[in-house]
Amino acid sequence: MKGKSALFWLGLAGAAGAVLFQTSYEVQELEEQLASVNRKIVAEQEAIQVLRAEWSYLNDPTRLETLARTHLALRPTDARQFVASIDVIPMRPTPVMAPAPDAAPLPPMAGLQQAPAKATSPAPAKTTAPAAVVIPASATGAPATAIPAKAIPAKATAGNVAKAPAAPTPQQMAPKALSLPATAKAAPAKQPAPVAAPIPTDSMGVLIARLGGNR
Amino acid sequence: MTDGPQGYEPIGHAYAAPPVAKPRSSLSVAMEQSRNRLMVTAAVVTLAFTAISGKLVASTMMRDPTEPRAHRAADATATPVGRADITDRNGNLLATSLATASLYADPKIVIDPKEAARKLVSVLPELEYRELQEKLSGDKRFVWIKRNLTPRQQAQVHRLGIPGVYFEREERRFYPAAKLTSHVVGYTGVDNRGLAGMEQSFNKRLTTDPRPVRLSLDLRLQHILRKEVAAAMEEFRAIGASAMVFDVNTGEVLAMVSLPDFDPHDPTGLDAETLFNRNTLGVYEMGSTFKIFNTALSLESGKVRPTDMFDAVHPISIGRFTIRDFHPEHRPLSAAEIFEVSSNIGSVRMMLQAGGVPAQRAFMAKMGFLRPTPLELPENGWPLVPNPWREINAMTIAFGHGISVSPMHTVAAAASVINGGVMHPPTLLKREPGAEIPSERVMSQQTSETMRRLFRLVVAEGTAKAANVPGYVVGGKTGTADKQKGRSYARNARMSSFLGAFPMHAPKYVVYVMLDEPKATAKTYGYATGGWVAAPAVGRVIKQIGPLLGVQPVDENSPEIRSAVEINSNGTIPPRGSAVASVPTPGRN
Repeated sequence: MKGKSALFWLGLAGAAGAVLFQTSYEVQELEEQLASVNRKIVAEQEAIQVLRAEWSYLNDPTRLETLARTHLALRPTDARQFVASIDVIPMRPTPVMAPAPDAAPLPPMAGLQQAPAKATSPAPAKTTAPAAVVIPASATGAPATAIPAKAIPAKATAGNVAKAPAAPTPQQMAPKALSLPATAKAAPAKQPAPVAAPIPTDSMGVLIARLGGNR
Repeated sequence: MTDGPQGYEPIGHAYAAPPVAKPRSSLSVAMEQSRNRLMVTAAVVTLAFTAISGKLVASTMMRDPTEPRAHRAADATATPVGRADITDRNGNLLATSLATASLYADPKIVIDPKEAARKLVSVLPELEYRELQEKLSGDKRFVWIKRNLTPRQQAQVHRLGIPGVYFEREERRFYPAAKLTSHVVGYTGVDNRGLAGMEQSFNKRLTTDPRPVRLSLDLRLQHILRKEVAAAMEEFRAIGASAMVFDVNTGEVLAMVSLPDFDPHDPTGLDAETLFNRNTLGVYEMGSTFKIFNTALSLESGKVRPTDMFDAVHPISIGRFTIRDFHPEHRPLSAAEIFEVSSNIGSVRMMLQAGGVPAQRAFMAKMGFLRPTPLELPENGWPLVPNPWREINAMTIAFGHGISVSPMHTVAAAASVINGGVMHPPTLLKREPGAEIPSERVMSQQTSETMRRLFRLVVAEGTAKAANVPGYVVGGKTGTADKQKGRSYARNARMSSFLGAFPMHAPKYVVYVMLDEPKATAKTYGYATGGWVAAPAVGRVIKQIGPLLGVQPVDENSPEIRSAVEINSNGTIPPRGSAVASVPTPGRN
């Protein structure tokens, strides 16, 4: 009896020792893993710090300006390129007649729906009544396009605008003439200078031209 | 010793020894002593064991019963470096610390100094072979070979596998914007202690709090300002320049440039001129720019109105001095016109009418010209103020001579003149939106509004037409001060400046440019005054920063704007609605 009891306690002690031994080794291994992860974290943090510094270095305004000068056709913005207030932008004119099937579409414009070519009525901001719509009668019946250029500032009188739109022939009209801004002072017979006109696919250019940005 | 009755000598009796205590044997004494010693020892031991068991109980049962952990997970968000970043107001890095490796050697362990030196020079060619070999064969236990290696260099040296050569992790301060912010951010020494600029004034904060210090500067504005001022400096061959962009409603400095500047990575071996921040440490006689404060003082006193006429024909003689005008008009001028054409004689007469020395001194104190600005930079100059303040001093101060203040003083005070009369102490730290802005009223709304109109008059029709930018309604005041060389004023060395503000109908920003000793060019018809050299630079700066700051361009010929910013040269304000919008004034666009 006494021997059995002793054996039991001895076995228990042995088992406890073994479990302790095992646990101790497991903990040691986990600690090693933790240390290694910690080292990696610190290394990553240092790498992030280096990358942030590099990002800032590469985004140095002086460097960016040199790059923009050499690779982009953009220039610093000018005060008149800004629309002074949202009220100055004319609303898209309502269609006055059904679009002709063979008319060339307007160049696509950012943020605006594509609209088929049609006679447009200028809507100066300061006048409540829309100016007279000009629909010159031509042999083919194709509509002429008059794009008001004097959007800002709204100094142009209704009379000026009504006089302005030239009536190009249908051949000349599409698609190049669509994007040409007709200035209020231009004589009806005179073609707008092609130098100032943006190319038809240049949607941003068309928008700027409409707002009178490159006058 | 005597037990019997006193005076009685027992005779014939046998001597009986008196009953004394039995003498203690040496053994019992020893026993007693050792027992006491045992008691003391036991007490001490008991005390010690009680303390130990008490501590044992406390640390095992009373405390957090878990085992103390040897390892702790690293904080993923913490910065691995010991010095916080400095960023601009938009969060772009201006200064950061990078962990680098520094190379050192223990010469006792280096086996072959010659070979080690040869190998090291092969990957670090900037080292001197002979010098390195001497270092490695010395008797010391520690020599630096090279500090702050790049990661590539570190890998190369590591691959050489030289015994006795070790790396030490160090930190290196890195300034991505380099020259652009050198005077404001400052720099640190080899031991990463701030030695100048914000690095010095915020040294403690940067080393104790890992969150970045956010400055009020805007890197983009800083770049534009530096570019334009450097161009002006080159064009007019000036020896130095200082420039600032200041927010008049918050007191934040948005850009601060002092030229010549330096690379903060290597600030050694530079002359004092280069390290000197002209905006804050430099104090100068401001010249005509000070007429801003003279006019504001006169109007605020209530004794001078913009329409009052003053004699500007006869030069003023006092003592051995004679005060003349640079461009004499030879006619009486109104107070408004005195500001517009920058008449010295007129300014002096205005000051005398407004109350002379005491009024001027009190006003200058309110403007903060008698003590350093509260800016956070350690480089903060004391103004040079006349003492005693005599009438002759007051007269010269009326047109900006005889008192020297820093450009920062001038800009902060001018901002308070046009922003409605409230002085905001200038700061280089970003004010968080919603935070309270310290402010102090220094003049009435009415005076401030008149000053705004006068600022606009100078740009629209006065000495600074070159600063005009269509759409941004610029106003300002030019200044040209002869430089003092020794005891007299130099004829041909001057400080030319322009203090511009925009948009004048609701002022938001002040742009200040000052050039040190600009030389006239053919393009300026031989002039090197503020209106010719500094005003165009300010115009170019405003043209570029206006869109960045989100200032909405307006049509300056519209009736609302004209009625808000116009004043006639005779000092009258045109009545509302009198300006016909569709007919622009000739000579303006």
